[in-house]
Amino acid sequence: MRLNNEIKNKNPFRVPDGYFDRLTEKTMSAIREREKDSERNSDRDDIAVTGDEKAAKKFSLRPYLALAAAIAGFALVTTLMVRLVRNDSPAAVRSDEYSLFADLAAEEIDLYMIEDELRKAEGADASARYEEAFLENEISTDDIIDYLTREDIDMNDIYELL
Amino acid sequence: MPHITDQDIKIILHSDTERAFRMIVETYGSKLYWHIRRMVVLHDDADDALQNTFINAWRNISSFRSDSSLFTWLYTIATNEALTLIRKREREHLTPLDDIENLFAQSPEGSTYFDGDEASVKLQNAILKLPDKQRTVFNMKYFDDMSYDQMSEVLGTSVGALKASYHHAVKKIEKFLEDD
Repeated sequence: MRLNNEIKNKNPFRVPDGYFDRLTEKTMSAIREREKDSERNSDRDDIAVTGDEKAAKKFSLRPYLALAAAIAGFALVTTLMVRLVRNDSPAAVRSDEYSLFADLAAEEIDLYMIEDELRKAEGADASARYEEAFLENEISTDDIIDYLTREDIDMNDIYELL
Repeated sequence: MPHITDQDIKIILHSDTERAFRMIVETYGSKLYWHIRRMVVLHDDADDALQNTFINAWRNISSFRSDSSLFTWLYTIATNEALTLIRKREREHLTPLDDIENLFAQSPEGSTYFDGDEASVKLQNAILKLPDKQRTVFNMKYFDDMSYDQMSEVLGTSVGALKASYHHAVKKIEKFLEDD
């Protein structure tokens, strides 16, 4: 089955009898009803605001107090963190770094460096293989079209490219 | 009744808003209804979205720019209302609503206002399986015969992207119709 004019011109949807004849009246009364509702709601809101004005003022202070407490807490934590970091002497860190190499004999350093280079090469190889597999097998034409469409590339250009 | 143009409505809009709005509902009511109905499938939902479309249009009629097209403006509101309703429906139901039988089963209206044969059911199911945006683009192009320029104004998307989206939707629907 394919999309054609026969299937296009068939309208399977029905409406209740006289639906379109009544549409204008129904719509205009729905609009009037909605306007009355919003008027009633705004009147009610006005009354509520006048009656509870004091309570509202008190209540409205709460978010500010909470914000002030949060800022004070943040400042306290930040100060403590800064002090802790300052106590961690840079010399100690450096001595840790040096000790890593100091513990290794000359040949061990060579071995360490060779292994490190090998690990890097293997990683690069694996990533290249992964990229190749990903590009060849896992991205479908649909995905590419989706991506290019999102990037607002013209459809004609997309189909020329693919 | 003589043919009413956008220009006639815009002129009356300045002096008698309610009369002009009645003319808008009379002129565009059925077109907008069918646009929404194809997207939401159920009559009750289409009716709700259409009422919301006109209520929103009424509220914002004062901000409607007289150099704009009424048709494009109303279609934009109607499309947004239909998409809002679809998303709300998807949030409220646990089972996927990408099958017309499911949709009928989960609504009080059922299939009362649907009279389609097997081919129509298949086509509707294929359309329901499209993502929202593709479904909108497909309906506007295939059923409403809208130009890409008009669609671009309504949906705020480039013509190239709409062409790709439509092409993609047609391919998916044809594949679904062949496989099913």
